[in-house]
Amino acid sequence: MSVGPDEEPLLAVRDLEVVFHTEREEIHAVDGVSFDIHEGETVGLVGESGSGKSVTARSILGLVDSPGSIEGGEIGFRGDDLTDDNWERHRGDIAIVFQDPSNSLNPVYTVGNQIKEALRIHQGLRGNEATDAAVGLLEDVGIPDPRRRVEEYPHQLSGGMQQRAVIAMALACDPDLLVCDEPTTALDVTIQAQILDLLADLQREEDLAILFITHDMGVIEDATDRVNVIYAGEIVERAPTGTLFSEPAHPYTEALLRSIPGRTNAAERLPTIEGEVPTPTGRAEDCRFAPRCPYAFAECHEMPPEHVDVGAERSAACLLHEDGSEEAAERTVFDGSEAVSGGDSA
Amino acid sequence: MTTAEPPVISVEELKTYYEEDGFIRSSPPVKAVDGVSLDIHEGETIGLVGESGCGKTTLGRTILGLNNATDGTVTAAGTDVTELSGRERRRWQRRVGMVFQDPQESLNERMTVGEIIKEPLKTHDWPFLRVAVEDVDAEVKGSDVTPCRPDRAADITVRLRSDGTKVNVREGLPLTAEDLDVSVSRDGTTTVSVAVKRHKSELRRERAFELLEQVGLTEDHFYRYPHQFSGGQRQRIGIARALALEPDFLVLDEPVSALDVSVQARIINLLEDLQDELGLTYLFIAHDLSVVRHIADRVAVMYLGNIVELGPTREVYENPAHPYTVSLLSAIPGSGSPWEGGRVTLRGTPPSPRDPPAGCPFATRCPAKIRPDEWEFPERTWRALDELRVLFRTRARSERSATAALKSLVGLDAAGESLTETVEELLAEHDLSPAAQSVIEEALEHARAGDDAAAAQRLREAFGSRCDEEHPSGYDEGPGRTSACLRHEPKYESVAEVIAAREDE
Repeated sequence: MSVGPDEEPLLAVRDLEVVFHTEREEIHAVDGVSFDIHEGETVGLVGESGSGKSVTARSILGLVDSPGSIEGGEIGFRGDDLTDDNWERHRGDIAIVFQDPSNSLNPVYTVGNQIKEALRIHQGLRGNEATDAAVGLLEDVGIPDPRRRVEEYPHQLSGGMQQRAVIAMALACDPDLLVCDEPTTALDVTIQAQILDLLADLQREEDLAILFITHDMGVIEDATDRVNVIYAGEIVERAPTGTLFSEPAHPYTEALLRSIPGRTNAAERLPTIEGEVPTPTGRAEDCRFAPRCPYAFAECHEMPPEHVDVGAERSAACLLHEDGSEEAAERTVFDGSEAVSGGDSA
Repeated sequence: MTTAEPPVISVEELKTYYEEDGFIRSSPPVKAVDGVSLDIHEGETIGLVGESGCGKTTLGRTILGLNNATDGTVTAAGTDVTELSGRERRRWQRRVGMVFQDPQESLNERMTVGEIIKEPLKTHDWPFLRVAVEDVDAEVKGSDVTPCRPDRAADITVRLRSDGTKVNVREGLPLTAEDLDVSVSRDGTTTVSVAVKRHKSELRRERAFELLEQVGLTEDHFYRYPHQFSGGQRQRIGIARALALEPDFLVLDEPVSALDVSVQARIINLLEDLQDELGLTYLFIAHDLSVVRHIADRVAVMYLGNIVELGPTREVYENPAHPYTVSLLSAIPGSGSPWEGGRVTLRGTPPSPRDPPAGCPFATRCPAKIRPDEWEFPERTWRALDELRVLFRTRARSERSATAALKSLVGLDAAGESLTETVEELLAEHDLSPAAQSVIEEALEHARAGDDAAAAQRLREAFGSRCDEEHPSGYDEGPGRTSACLRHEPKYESVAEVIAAREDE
């Protein structure tokens, strides 16, 4: 699903900054994040917990609550900047599916009532018309016996069925963009496979754009066309999914891929990343990955790296890729021979 | 791991049912573990995989004596530990330990890390020093000591020699021979009295320091509270607590599922190091198949309370025998999947463990199910028929809301109509013979009369096969491998061939 670079993106996030003000400090949870999503494509946002991926998702829907606020940047959607308080105008164009379906459904209303509510608000449907539409949606998301299920309460559905119902609710507002925040993390691998298949089918049929947020590299590999890797509030690498896995350009991406078990020889120790993900308490003044990076050199601690092109449609924020960088010239970095140490510490 | 040696723990035909007596009527029990047999050998790691609700955790807990077994045995050192109670059960629980999934939930926020780690030491009144007296039959006395049983290693060894008494303390204890007062009296029988000169609380604190170091934390952490730690560190605390009483066997229940990959890798490395150092045996429960592939020597695949496949990890991952294992492996997303064929997406969810299928537990979702010879349908028609049966089964099981029940009482129920519609939609594009159609009509009659169970039963009689009637036992599928699937009988096509052929259709 390659899209020409000239075409106007459906969603264009530019230099997004989200800051949480706590009594002790300011946390720059999202610090200058930019990415595009075109119509009909699936873009991944992958990172560890605390990297700012969910905050990015919530910003797009205008769901960032106090003590957090969007303090800079733009979220362009169909020519409007959403941060200019245009969310109400595009309410229904963007829908979100969260990780835990049982938290997204109200236990005291039937599944049908909840879908019908969305249909009434977004499409003005009522009565039998709404019921038929709700049954249709449940059928679209692969819930068997939808006429019966529409009368059931959330607790009567399994976890996978609940997530399908949540997706049906999201589709009830006929969105152009579906934001999926860890939609399969709470599900078993077999049910995850069903939901991934379902999302792919829906995208094909409805030409949906999907922002897929997850920490699971395997899911990213299966579900997305392009990927953004996020670390401590910053996007450190963007690439088409295939090349990200075959030739990771940023040392963090490389380390992340190597620490996934089951891909290396079982007899070997798993390569690990030393240290912890830092909490960004100010704007970046250096490379935030430098303290954990096996390739870091002096300049990495002095200035924040800019994104540089590292191939077709891909870039990485790393000084190693800076033109004329001596360090880059000296190293044949990513042949995977040395790299990340296998040490162990808390 | 050598299979020639007797297993340290032998599970046989173990059943754990959860009974539930309702106020008005009692429902059938949840058959969480339904006839599991498994031998666990010293020093090995057995991976236990399966979907949530398949009984993995209950199996682990029943082995440890945290749940009561309904039937069957768990034998360790010649004793059936499911029969133990009171002091004997506690004695067994000193030799085993458990690490829980969620490091946020499993640590008491109000206790310091030191208190958390010392808790099992206090509960079991550690130290319980086992004293062995060499070469002589002697009685052992003392408040903190017990005579050593022949099957256990001694903590303190006393040698009575003509030139005096020699005392030896096992390594790994925060104690030396100088901390002990040993006196011997020979009054007809020999009596050895051992007194520990240091206070218990002091010994426990030192043991806790040692444990912190073992899991990669430091003494400073002893005084802090759990909320001051990251997820990975909290899991280290949980591991230290499980190791406190020097167990031989640990049940690790999804120990890395809640952690990020980079942290996960460090905890896995720690668990492997501890196993080497301390000679531990692990039962590693996980739903993440990639983690199990890395850490386990053997893997047991569980479905609806049964172990359906068991074998060495590498062989099972490279060449899965049971259709459920194939489905699980093929569902691993991305290039982590070892299955080279297409993804086998299972339909639906596992049946309720209250009402498991009569035959093979996997029959309702199996991609390689044996079809009866009487009918000739294309694969997609078979799947539609399976789906129809699951639909009736689900209806039969689900409780109806009060309003829906009222509506049907006063004849306002549209369910009959909608049912016909649903069934027609399901079978719309399928070419069914008149005989098959009349079977479906009969089933529909039952359903319209409100008896969904009878409808499902009618479909089963007509379109079911051996898989719906026989509970398959384990077939030998290579050295150390078993798989419980009727397809392994020589007269049938192999699982892999059938799945490939059906996916192509």
